[in-house]
Amino acid sequence: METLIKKYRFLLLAGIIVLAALSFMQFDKLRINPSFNDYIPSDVGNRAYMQKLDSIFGGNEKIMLIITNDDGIINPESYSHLVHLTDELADVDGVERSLSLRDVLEIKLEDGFTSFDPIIHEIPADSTALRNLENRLLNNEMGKRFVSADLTATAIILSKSNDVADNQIIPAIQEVLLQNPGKDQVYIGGLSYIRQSIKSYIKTDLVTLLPAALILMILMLYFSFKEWKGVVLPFVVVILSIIFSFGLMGLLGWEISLISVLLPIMLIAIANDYSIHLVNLYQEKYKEGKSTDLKIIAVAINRELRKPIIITALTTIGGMLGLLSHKMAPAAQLGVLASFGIGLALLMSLYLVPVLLSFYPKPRIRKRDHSGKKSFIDRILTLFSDWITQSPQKVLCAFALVAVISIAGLFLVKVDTNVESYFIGKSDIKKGIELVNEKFGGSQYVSILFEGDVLAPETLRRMDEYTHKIQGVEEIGHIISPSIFMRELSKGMNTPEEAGYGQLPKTEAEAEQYFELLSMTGYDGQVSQFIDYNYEHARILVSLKDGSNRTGKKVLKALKEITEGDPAVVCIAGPGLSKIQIADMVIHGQISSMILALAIIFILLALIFRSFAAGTKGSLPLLLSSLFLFGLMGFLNIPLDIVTAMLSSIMIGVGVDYTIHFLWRYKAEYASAGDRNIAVARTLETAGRGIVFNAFSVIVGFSVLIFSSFAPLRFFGVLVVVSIFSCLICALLLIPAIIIVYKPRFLES
Amino acid sequence: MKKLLIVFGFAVITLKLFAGDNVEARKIFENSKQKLSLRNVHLVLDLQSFDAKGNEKTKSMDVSFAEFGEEKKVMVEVTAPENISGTKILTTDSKDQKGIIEIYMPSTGKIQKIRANQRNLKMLGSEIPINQFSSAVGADSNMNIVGEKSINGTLCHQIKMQKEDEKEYDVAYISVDQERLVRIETFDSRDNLVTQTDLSNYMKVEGIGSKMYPRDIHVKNLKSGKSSLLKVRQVDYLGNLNINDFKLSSAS
Repeated sequence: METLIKKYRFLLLAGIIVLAALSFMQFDKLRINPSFNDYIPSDVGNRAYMQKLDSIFGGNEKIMLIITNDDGIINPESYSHLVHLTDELADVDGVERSLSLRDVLEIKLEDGFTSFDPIIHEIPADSTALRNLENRLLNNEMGKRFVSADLTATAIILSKSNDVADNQIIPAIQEVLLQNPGKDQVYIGGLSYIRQSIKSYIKTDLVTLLPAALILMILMLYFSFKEWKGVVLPFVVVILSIIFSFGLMGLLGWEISLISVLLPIMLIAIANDYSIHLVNLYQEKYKEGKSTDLKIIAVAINRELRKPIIITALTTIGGMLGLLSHKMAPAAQLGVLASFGIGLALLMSLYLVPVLLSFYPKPRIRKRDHSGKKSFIDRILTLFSDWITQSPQKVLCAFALVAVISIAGLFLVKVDTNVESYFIGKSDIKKGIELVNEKFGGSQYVSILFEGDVLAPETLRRMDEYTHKIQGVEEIGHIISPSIFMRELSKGMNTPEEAGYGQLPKTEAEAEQYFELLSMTGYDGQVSQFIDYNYEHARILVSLKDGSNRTGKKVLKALKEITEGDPAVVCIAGPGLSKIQIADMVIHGQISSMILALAIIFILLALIFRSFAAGTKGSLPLLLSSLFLFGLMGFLNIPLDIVTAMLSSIMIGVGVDYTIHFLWRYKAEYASAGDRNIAVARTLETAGRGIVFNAFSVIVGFSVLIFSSFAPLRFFGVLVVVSIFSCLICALLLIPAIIIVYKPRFLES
Repeated sequence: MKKLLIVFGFAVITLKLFAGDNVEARKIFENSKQKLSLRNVHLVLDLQSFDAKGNEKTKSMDVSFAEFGEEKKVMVEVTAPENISGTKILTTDSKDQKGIIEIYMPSTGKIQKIRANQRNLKMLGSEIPINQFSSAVGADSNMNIVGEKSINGTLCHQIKMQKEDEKEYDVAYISVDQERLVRIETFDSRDNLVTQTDLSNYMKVEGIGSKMYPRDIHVKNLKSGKSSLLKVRQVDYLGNLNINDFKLSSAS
């Protein structure tokens, strides 16, 4: 260290500046990808089937534009606007189909002529005729998809091509809306729009939360150390670790996801811990007055704190690496990037901070208040000390009780990976989602895919039977079925008096001739969404009334039961079910990452204290905090989602530091005093205070997430505060109580 | 094919001159029409249709065009594939009656009737608009020469055809040297190319002087990605017309 400061400090600074510049240059490569579907393995399950569906029928995803008018949407002005928008939107690149009320057909046989006429030619001025039209719309199978039952909203349904990106199609749609204003309110719904909104929200979060967290950190550091040196040194470490981590992200070509928003916040909360300890010790050393030369102090603080800092950094990295067991790539990537950032923060704290400190002139440190009056924290710690030394068993029982109650809460934890629930408040996107779900039966579709002679009477009969059964599933909004369409088509071929009216075709040839006739009218595009070009595949499409995992699972179960044993059914899949596949990955990732993180921590603790018991006892606070965390989520109805699934690994990685600090100091105090009660009291008085400040700095860092635009990040912010606090309490109460009751030898040898 | 069928319409109505019409353009267009065999002919053809993904459907048809006084009839009979074989489509146009399309469906033995003026009507599963069988279509377009352009190595006149009350328009490409119709493009109101019809590989029609007919007619819909390739296997001049051959009955 001495040589570094004397000879190479400029070289070190120059090297770091160059590396930082190189990392910064990688930022250009950073791209935001708000979709988690891309991270689902493409060769199995729902995603593989969706690719098959896409290859047969084109884009599965729907974008819905909801046009509302509280006075009634069926009026000439609104209809004219609707028709104009439908036409304009059809020309947007990536829109495969643009359907609206304009395309609703009334198929009939009248005066001997078959007609596939649009149900609306013009909106009648006469109120009786208008009411008649409204009734015909509400009773028309196709019309029901495009107008709400209360006639205050209508939908334009766009089929999105798979080849077009959300950031191309959504702005183009918004531009069309901007260029064609109307008196009615227009909302956009559908997964594509939701993803695009998530993308812009991620940007907003990054540009608002990051500065907010940095400002909070600066304030906390300044009020802690009362000198700018104490702010600048940790700040430099944090900023550089963020730049290097995002630089690595760009270099590796990884994309920014919703989870990535956590990375800078985590680094702000965690990466300054080591330099805080160094600055704290530097102030103590300077105040002691043995040496006022900052070069000498810089060497001394590096030497004294190197070991505990390395240990706590390694355990934190160990916890983060638990995220590697997630199958979801962004979670594993977060583990790598956070570990990388913390590792660099460790190195910079050990080498860059002392080097920077060596540049400073002698400081003027304000004298601290030595009135002897105990602070609030000191009083709390004394209270803890009293409880532990007087009634350690009661303390242990209290923790056991919390554990039991938490276990009960575990059974209430639900998993929800529905992107619709990411949004909070009364934003347009939230309103759009609500309108789509409440008035139009949802925008997330699931398909039952049939293969073979799909126009064969027997296959059509089974589709018809399934359609009837599906109509009884409460969670399903709309049904688009070949059998419904065939029945409607027959009304154009037969008079109501004829036997074939409203019936399915009797032969495959008849069905095919129906479609050929339809293709002559130019309306075959509407058939192509459920029967393929060569009549080899067909599907029944159903929409989910809401995007929750519960609804998705119920619908999937019902559809499986209804179609069980049908040899023609190839799969049941769709965008509406991706969340279930993601949920399975979240649950698996949550369990495996927690086990991996605990195993890493266990091994590290056992190695640090050279004792198996240290591994088990040291891991107890983490286990208990995890139980408490998930129990709380269960009781508060906070779902386990793609973001909150990161919690346990982060909590374990960060929370174990407090236990290590406590055990490390206790060992020294016991060696000095030879009495457990005294050693515990002294440890709480000294290290306890540092542990509290350390935990609070982490809590403050993460607390900005409470102001995120996304519900999962807000929940994460609340839960990480609770869980870090839980780790803190465990380190300050549970660990000392265990020491008093069980007298672990590894601390007394 | 779409515009070829427009030509059919032109062939059976009296030429009208319109204000703003370019005489030279109309003359070139009329000359190209004169070279085509457009009435009282029987075609045997294969129609290949492709969707945007390249999936293919093939149909074989017999198509006959005939005039009986002021009544113009087009009869299409599908001969393959099996499930739609025997389907017949009869389009009738007359002065006193708007076009009517009758479709005989062998599976039900019934005849369905559709009005020819219904929008979007297309030839069975293809991109070829069926309403062009009506004689009224295209008759009221203004024509102007807008330039010359080489199409597949052949220098062509570019003739813009547009109805007075419409923003959509068509451009016909007629070879400078032989005055043959080579290509027809349709554009939407924003000048976007929507369909492109190429007529090529002209052959002589026996029994009717020097009349020609294209063997290959390729229609591409650039908006939907669909396309149709019509291959004419045989063209015969219908010397002895029988109106009974141009009637449908449920017993047929």
